[in-house]
Amino acid sequence: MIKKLSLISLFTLLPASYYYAQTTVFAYIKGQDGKPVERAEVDLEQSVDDVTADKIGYFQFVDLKPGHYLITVTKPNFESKVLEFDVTADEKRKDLGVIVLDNSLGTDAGVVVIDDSATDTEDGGSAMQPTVGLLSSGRDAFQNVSAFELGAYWFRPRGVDNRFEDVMFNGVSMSKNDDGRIDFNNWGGLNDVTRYPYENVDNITPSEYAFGNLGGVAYYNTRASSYRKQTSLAYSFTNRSYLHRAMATYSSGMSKSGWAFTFSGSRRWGDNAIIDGVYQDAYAYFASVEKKFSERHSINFTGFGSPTYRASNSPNTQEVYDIMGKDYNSYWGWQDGEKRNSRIRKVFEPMFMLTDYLKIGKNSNWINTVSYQIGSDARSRLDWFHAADPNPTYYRKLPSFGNYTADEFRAQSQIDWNSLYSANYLNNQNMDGSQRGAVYTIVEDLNRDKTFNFASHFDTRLKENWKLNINFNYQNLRSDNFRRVKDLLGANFAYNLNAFNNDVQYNTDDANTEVRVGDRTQYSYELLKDHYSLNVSSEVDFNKFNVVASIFSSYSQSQREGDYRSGIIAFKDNSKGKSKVYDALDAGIKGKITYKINGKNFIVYNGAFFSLAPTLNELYINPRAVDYLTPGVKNQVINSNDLSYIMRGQVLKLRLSAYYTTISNSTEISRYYAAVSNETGSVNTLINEAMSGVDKRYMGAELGFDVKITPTLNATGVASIGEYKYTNRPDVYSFDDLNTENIYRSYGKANIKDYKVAGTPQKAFSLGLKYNSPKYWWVGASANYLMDQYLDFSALNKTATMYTDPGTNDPYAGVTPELIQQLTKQKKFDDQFMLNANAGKSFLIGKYRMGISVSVNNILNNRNYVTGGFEQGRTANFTQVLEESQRQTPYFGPKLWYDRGTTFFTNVYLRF
Amino acid sequence: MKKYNSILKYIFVMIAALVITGCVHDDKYNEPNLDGYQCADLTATMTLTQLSAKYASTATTAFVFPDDSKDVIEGYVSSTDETGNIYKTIYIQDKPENPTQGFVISVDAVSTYTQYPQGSKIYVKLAGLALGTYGGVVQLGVKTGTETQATSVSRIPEKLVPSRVFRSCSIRENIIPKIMTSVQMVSANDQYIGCLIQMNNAEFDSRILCTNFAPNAVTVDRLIRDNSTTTTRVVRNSGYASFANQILPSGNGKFVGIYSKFNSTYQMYINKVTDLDMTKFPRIDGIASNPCEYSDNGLTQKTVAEVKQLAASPLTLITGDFVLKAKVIANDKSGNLFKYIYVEDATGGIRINIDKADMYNDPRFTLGKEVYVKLKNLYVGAVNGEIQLGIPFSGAVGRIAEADVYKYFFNSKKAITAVTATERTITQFTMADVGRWVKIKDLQFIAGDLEKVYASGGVTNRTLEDCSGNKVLLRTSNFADFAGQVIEAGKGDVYGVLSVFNGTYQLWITDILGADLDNPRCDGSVYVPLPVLYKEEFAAGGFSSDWATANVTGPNQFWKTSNQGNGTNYYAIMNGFASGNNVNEDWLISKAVSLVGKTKAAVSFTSDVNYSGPALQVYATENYTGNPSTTTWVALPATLDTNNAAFGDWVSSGNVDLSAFLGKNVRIAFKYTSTTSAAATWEIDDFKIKGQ
Repeated sequence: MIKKLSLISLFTLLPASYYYAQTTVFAYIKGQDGKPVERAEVDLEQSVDDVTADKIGYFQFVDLKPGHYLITVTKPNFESKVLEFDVTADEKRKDLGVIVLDNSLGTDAGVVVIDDSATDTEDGGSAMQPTVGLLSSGRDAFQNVSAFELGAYWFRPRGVDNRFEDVMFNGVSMSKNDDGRIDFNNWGGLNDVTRYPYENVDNITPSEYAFGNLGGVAYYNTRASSYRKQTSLAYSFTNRSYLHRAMATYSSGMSKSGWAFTFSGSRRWGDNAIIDGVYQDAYAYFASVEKKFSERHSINFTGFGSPTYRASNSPNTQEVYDIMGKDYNSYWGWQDGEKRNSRIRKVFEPMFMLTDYLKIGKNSNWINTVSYQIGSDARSRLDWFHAADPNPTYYRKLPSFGNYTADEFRAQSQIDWNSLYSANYLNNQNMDGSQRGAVYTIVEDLNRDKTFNFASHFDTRLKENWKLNINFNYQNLRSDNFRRVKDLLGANFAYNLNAFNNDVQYNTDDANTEVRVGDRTQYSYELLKDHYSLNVSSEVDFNKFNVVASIFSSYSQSQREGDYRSGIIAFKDNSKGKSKVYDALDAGIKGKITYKINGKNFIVYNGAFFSLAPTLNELYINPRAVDYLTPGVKNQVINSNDLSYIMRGQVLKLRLSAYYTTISNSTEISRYYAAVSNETGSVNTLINEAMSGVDKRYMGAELGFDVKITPTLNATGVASIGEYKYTNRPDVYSFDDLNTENIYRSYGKANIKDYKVAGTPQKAFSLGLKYNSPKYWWVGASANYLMDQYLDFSALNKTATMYTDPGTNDPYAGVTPELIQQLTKQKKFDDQFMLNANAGKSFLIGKYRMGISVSVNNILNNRNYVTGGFEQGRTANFTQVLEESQRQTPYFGPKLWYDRGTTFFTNVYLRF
Repeated sequence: MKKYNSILKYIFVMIAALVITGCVHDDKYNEPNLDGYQCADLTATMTLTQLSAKYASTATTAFVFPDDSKDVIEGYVSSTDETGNIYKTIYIQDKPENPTQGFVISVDAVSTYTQYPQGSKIYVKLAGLALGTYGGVVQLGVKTGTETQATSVSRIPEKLVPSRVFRSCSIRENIIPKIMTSVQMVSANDQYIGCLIQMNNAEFDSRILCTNFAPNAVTVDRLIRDNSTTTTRVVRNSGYASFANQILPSGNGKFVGIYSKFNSTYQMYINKVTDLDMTKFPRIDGIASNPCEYSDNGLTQKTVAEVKQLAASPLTLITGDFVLKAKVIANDKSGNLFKYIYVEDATGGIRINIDKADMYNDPRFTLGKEVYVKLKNLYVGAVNGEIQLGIPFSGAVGRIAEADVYKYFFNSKKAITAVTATERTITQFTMADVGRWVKIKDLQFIAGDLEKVYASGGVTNRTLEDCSGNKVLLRTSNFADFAGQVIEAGKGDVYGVLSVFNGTYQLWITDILGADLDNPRCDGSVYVPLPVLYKEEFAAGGFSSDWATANVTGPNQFWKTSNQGNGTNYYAIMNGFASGNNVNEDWLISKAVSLVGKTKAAVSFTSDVNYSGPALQVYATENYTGNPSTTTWVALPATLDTNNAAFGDWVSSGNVDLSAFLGKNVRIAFKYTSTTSAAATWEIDDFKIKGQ
């Protein structure tokens, strides 16, 4: 048995001088299924010598003097357990027996689905992104509920955007370099192997593996031997963005010859989910192979990827929803007997990693990972050349515009593929027989990243109660971005000419302006980035205090390399070739102080102060055309503090926190297509809208509790009351393809002080009950209330430019401060009530374990909850804005996504 | 146990089967077969000629086809709107070759070529459609009743088009343009309006050489001629056409376009710029090679300062093969600068006089564009003390003829860049600054100019001052599009061209943002125009009962109103001259205006004087006896016109303070006097008493 003790347990045997006449206390930790739970943390209130259980769930404390003790056993995804016991003088060894940890709510249900099809649009300035919290249930009730109950409605704890969250695989960050966001598609469908993060810290709590950010760190260790030896099969049926999911996972455990294998695969597919014309087919593969050379040295290879193919659904104005209903999707039309969607996203960015695990000396670990990720992310859309916008919801086709009635609109509410083919067929030739290019095409915007990473993690125990972690990361990115022709829709070729700007060539260095399927068109550039970061953290555990400090510094160099020389004269020297290198230096510090009032009550303070260099997306204002930097772009500075009171009782577990975060100097870019009409039809050009020097403040309080009303009945509750708002008047700029003279248009300052940050309800409440039968079934329900959700705004019309006559630089006649306030007021959505329920049962059939679960969200089928939306960006003057505001149904009204109503997810699994 | 195992295996097999077979959209689609899609082959019931005859040239109302009309016409689409030069119109002709009749269909739809490409045969069901005229040309549309004229029709609504206009399922022809010469463009050939025509040996007029088809968003007429006559014809180009910013072809050759006319002017519309083949030289007008090509070969570059140094009095012919490369910093966009531009390089700025209108629309003279000027044969010399470039006129530097512009000015093909101002204070001005775009910080108009417009009557001087009291003139043409705007009363930075007139520096702004004076004035005050309590513009002629005239001396001449030289707008006038100077004392006295409860008050008016004579006097009283001679008058220090050499140069009095009369009822009086030796003519207008 001693042989199997973890290192850390071993340390507690030392120093030998104490090794007499005192008691050793030990126990085994197991899960509900009777299998050992490894790596659970066991905190002994009266000592600094916290231990971690080993692989078989064993832990021990040595040299305990007689007295009364209290231990807390915690492990992510399990409910923590508090145990009290007495040690008497005559005991040499005290056996606490088996400590059974209950699975925490949701984990076993396995129902968390990262369902981000709504994020696949370029039209949205909205930040509809899943939160990292969804990846796994955390340590406390607040996290569980905010992720699994409220998270289904895009609630983001503390209002923190996905960009400020971190997910790491073996030390390699999965945040995309272009926008800093995590692309969950990269491992979508691999739920089996990403269910249990190795480390999962919340908010600004320092991590051992990274400096982290504002939104916590989830660290996955994909070491083959770390997965429980078993085979798992699962099938799910749902009506969300797909219908079926099948998953299979096999894990061999460590063989005697030192090999361990873990394989996982899945497919998610379906043709007819709730929203019309949405379909999906996504596979996922995962393989991890470990070779153990000695107890001290292992090498692990991991490869995973998730080829995903998914159709998107459109946001719509309220007018359109009122006519077509909330399941309407304007992106598709009938072709070939099928609903053909014009907006298809195809992502496949497989990742390959090699990790070396080395134990040095008695108490140090050195883990090195090299990884390479390659692949592409493609999003398709309709494109047109010298023609009218074919989208059914183009504003001139809306009944409010006046040309068509609601019935006429309904009759042509889907894309008319035949008319697009017809236009191309009829114009394949000029009347004299000469060849002619396409009117309508489907193009794809591609992002092909090649990312190399080197991550090194070193940890050591300087003293029994003093840990030190050093993390070094290097990342090299070459991101190839371009548009290519996906489908010519019956045409012979398409023109690579800028229809928005007198048909100038997108690439004047190439005399050939004809492009065919697979050819690059309109833009093509690479973004190059080298990034180095170093993080040192240390944790010291005292009797009453636990102190963690973490510092980091990073340096990055970014560069754009254009492939096309713009035909617009002003851009010809700034479009092709390598730009100047932009370098950025970041630094920061984080700290955490835990005061242990006793084993059940804690006070925790976290503080963070750090800078963040702009992402590539923020750095270049219009990288498709030029290498110009966003005016005023800077490193943003983040200052965040929180204070929590934590109670971990047997009956009541509770956390009460207050937080205060400021973000200053941030750059916010939104890119969207906006319609500009002219006499040749309509121009739908990409507008790059940038705000720089943005200051924001996030403050609020969180309460989460879990009460065991009876041994089988739990009540959980969450209250999150926040205020996330802008606190200054940042500068606004825009840049679009119509620009010919200036680098960008400057709009002055946006009057957005006190505007609210969109993308999440700012206040949310949840109350749930769960009955956990000892006979392995459960049923639960939660009532959720979401408040203070705001519409994402377009900054352009929040500036004085909107109401200032450019001819005189004075306000237009009729402008009053009251009227401007009324016209620019941020839209606040109604509060919503949502009811969720879930139930499940697991069976043990010999060596097979089987589980069935059902979860239903939004049981009341509330279709009024806006999950995301944005104001349509357009530059309008006061008169137009006033006119629009006076329309009963504004045709440039905000585009919204609504909740899909009642959705269910059923899951059955089999493990052996 | 076994039983369970088999169930589990069954489930497993089912799942596996689903995974393998579950099929989803594969994103691959067969191209649709669109034979017969949205097309029809109808039978025409009337020819285009017969259709045309339905609308008689003498008609006074549009001709409307009844809703149950079975009439159908057929034609071949002669136009294409793919470049956007043709807009919301489908032109057709009766035959693909040698047409005998063209026609115009007005539709409220863009990009119609996607459904009715050029050369397609189309059929139009006439039920409910109407014939009317626009610019003298008959066209097919609809009568909605909202048209401003009985004879006009509206565009066929977009959603109606598919049920009226049908593309033939099979027939598409290559339209052979009908060859026409300029001399054939007469009313006898009006049946060809709407047809695709070809003009051979055509060339664009030399006055517009090297400019573009059309300025951005502005529709223009470009003159074209052939060798059949010296008369020019019009090519009408839309500023929204995709080829608008291309340079007009400079040679001679084939022009192809849609034949049309607007009232009596024959004009053509280009379908696609690739239809033109006008590259041959020499041209009819003798230009032997492409004049728009520029090369540095054989040229020596001169700076603005060097060019200015060439100037000897009165003017100097430049004989060297020199080129000036300088940025256009001010042009005629607002109409303030007329037929001249200013260009500037690092060494200074200079005015160039060019006898051409709307130069701002010419890509060579766009604001912020570097222009190349070949200097040989131009003249440089001082005009009223300011060195300018041009061609001699009356012994001084005058304007370069429009027809010669192509000889001297070349498109640098460089990107437009911002015009940056040189910052100066009023006291820093030197002759070297003349011609530069300058910025002077923190200026305000003098108090006497406040509430006046930039210019009226003629070119007008206003005076700007800094907070130390240094003054500079701001000169504005009454043709500037902002001339009628009231100057701003605050303080701010002024941007403009610095010029000089016989030693006096003058600023010219090119739009009112040049003097956007929004800050408080030097003394910290924010000037708020006093509300008008009473105003009299004498606009309709005659004096109302508000005014009293008193004829103290000289009974034959008295205050009257007149609109002479002022359109229909009257003003008050007094003239003591009638076949000789007469002795006069004549009063014009306003009604009493109450200043009770006011804390500030003023009077303002405009005056104009001609001929010499005693100055007009302005008085106020709170106590008018009914007789000017017995009334106690207080003289007011009003600014009056001092130029007695001309009419029409109205001068504003500025706000004349009336604070001595606060809380009282005030009357204002104008006292005219003349003698036998001198009698001026005084005119008064825009009279206002203000207070708050």
